[in-house]
Amino acid sequence: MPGLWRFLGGLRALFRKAQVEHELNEELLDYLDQAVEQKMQAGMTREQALRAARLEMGNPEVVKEQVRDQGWESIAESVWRDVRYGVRMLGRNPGFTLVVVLTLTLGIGANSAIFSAVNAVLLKRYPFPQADRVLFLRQVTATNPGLLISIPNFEDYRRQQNSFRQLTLWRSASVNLTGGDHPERVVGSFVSDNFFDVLRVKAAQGRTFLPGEDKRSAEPVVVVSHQAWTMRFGGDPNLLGRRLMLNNESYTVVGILPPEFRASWLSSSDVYLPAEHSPAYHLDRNDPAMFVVGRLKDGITHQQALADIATIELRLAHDYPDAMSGMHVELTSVPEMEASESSAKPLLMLLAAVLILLLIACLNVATLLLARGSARRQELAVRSALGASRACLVRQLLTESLLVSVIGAALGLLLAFWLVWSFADLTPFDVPAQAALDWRVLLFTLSVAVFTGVVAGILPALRLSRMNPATALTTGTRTAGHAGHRLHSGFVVAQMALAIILLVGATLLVKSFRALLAIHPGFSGEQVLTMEYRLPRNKYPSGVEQWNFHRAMVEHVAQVPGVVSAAVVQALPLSGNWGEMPFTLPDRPQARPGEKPTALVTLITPDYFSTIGSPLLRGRDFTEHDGPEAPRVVIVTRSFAQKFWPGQDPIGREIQFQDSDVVSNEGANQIRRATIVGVAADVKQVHLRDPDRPLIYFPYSQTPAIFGTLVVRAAADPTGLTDAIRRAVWSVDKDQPVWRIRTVAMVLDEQVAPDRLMMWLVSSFGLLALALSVLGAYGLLSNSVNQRKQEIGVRMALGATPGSVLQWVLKQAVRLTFVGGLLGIAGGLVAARFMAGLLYGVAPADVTAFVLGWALMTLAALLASYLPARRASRVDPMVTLRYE
Amino acid sequence: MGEKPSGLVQGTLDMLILKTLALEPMHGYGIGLRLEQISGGVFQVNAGSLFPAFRRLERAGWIKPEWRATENNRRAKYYVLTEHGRKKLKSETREWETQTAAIARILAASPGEL
Repeated sequence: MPGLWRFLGGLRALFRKAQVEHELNEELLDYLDQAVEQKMQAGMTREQALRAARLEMGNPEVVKEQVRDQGWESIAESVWRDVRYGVRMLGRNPGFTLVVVLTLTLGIGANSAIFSAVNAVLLKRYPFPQADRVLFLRQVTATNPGLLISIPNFEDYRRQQNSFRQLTLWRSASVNLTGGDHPERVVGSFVSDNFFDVLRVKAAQGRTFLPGEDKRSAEPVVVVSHQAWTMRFGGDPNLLGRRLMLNNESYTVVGILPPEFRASWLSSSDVYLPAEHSPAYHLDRNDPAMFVVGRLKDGITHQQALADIATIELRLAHDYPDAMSGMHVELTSVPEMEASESSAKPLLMLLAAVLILLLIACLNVATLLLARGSARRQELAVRSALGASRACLVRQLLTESLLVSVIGAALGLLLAFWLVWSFADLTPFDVPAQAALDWRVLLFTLSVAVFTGVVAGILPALRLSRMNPATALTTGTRTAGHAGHRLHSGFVVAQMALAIILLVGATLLVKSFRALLAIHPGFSGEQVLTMEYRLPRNKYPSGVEQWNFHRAMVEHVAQVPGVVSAAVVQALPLSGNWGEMPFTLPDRPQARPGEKPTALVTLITPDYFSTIGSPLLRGRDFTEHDGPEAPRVVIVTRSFAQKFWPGQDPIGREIQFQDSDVVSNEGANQIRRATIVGVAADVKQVHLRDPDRPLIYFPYSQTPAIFGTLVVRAAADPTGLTDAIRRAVWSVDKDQPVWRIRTVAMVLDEQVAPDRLMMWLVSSFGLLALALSVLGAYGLLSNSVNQRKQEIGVRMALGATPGSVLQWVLKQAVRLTFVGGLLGIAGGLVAARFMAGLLYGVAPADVTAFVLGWALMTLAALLASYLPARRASRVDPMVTLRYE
Repeated sequence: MGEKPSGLVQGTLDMLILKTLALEPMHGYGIGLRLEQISGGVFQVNAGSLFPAFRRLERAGWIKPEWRATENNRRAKYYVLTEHGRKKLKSETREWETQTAAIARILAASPGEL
């Protein structure tokens, strides 16, 4: 309660100042009157009484001041006074203010922009409550992250578990939407009826699934995301109850989800469909079909749940030893699952780089404040002589530096807003589109502003306030003092060291990027266009029908004018699609289950190798003779051959596998053998920077699948052929959408885009840092030459040559760059260690990078010091001495 | 005319003002005079201490100002003890008594007891 009274009283004093002052005056006058009256009653004359009373009371102004100091408003008032004074001082030096504010705007704006990306990626929020208690159930083996669980296993877990409120199925897949002008692809999630209950999300309009609606036997219904509703269906107010043709089947829209339900794995689909409608839904214990997700019961810990599930796992392993061999269960929360490792590290590194840049900007501003402070010595001395305490002066100077940093932060926020707004779509990092400027970014910017203001302002403020007004007033601006010079040198050395760290980092990234570009991906993608598609299983239920579509489509596309050749590959290299399968080699002893060799796997049609530009090294390509009934054949890559038959010819050897390991098709769990008929060149399938990994190619004709990537080689630029190719696809099936239409060059570019952006950003930070610290060094030396003009004049009058004066100034510069260089290299070594994981083909302690970064800084600084040095050597002793 | 109330233990001025006002509402000079009278001239409290204390107590909500007319028809600011102030005085007094009693015991202790 007293706190509130104090606050309200203070407000009254601030806003009704005249009234409060008047009352205080009146009260004091009354006090004096009373005292006089009292003393007259005691026998004094009026004059005597008045004099005695005044003596007793003392200076009424001092009393008033003491009274005012009782409230918080007096502090607020003096801060306000400092701010007004600071604004006046900044306005008087518009050039200085402009330079300082611009420097800080750049520094703070860059920080806010990078932080907003970090905020969106690393401090991700989920559109459903308590996401950390929503867990993925995984059946991990030595080679498999085990995210997919077979439906019979899921049913057993669901019935026997005690630690989750509910378990639910989820799997996303492309879904064909037809009935409009063109067939379209939407992203679908196939989910159990309790999916939204597990996430605790309610529909914004209509409803989510009712119990039993995930079954095949139920009337097909669909729940639509807010984004799909607004973007695809134009916000149609009558969407509820409408029927949509999805994967060739009619669904009734029963609900629309709230707008915030998006952006995470579980919430980024366009449409939500019943689990049993998923093409992956098979009642086969050997077929990992869907993701299993559950929300923990209240009070149950992660550990308890894991113990519970592991017990069930043991029972299942006992009952079904074949299906469950070599597996163990793990529970992984949604945030752990989605923690984007690959984006986190580069983003944190960028944040570190941009903070270093800010530090350099701070030092620059500190130098400017110090330099301007020297020019303000007179003013500060006068204030000090008039009774301002040192604390008063420090507060005043800090207020000014905070003022510029807050202005810089406000402008920096605008800059960040613009950067985020215009680059959000371009960033190759996994930054969600809503990387907006929320309160965390505001808070971050505010703290950066305060940090900047204090860091840049505190040392100059302490230095400038420490002076003797008498000497300051008499000696004028000529002698800045040795200590001021030392502080200034310290700032410059620190700037150089920080700039070297950034330059070394930039050089490392440039070298790494060049190494990345030098990698040969194993194919040459000039003039090759690719697009993806997925056949609806209910329209193409059998392998023969699927294969017929692929073949017919390739034939039609190959006839489009301008097309050289066409083929289909299931997982285009570096597209993000890839698969891995276990197999056995009949020519050697049987491996134990769970320890089988594995290799990457993909399906292709004939002519794939010539179309993508990947050479076939030995043997032959698949042909139309390798039909469904013909003997099984495969092609392997060179590293596959080298790994399993080093120094021998692999052609004619056999591998043994299970159909369902190649492609998940109904009833495709037969064990088969295939003969190796060809050896292809190695390709980078998963990541450009991976070592070569063994890969097996299967022919679509013998192991058909519903998913494919059409690959088309054109005679010239292929992008103009897009429409003609699409029409060719629709001539086979008018309802079949294609998507992710891009050239192989774009696919390759996407691989190196994050590295390129990092390289550009850090390089531009490095150059900016270089420029700032060169300016710093130049400023320091020319300041020092200006202040020592007379000393130089006297030296020259006494016989020093211009050459020796030149040397004398350059020596100072060499000393600065030497110390800065040593510190910078030490700092660079530490920084490079943190970068190790981000570099390719270059050691963190790469000598050329360090030499280059150091040399760049040193040369630039020495060049910058040449100007003041030459100016010093041209000092005319007669002029300087007479000038005094 | 010292800077601080002569001979007044620091921090007790507030309590004494509250006590004075507990008897009746008074204006500034009256409070100072009353303190001097009751203490038998031991405490001489000047304006430089009194007025800051008034502002402090007013802000804390323990006393509140009341403007009254004096005999010679001027407006004078009287201070009145509030309900909060009354409670505060009570607790302060209790605190003071325990402390002084403790100090007295310590000062009266004989060498053997220490």
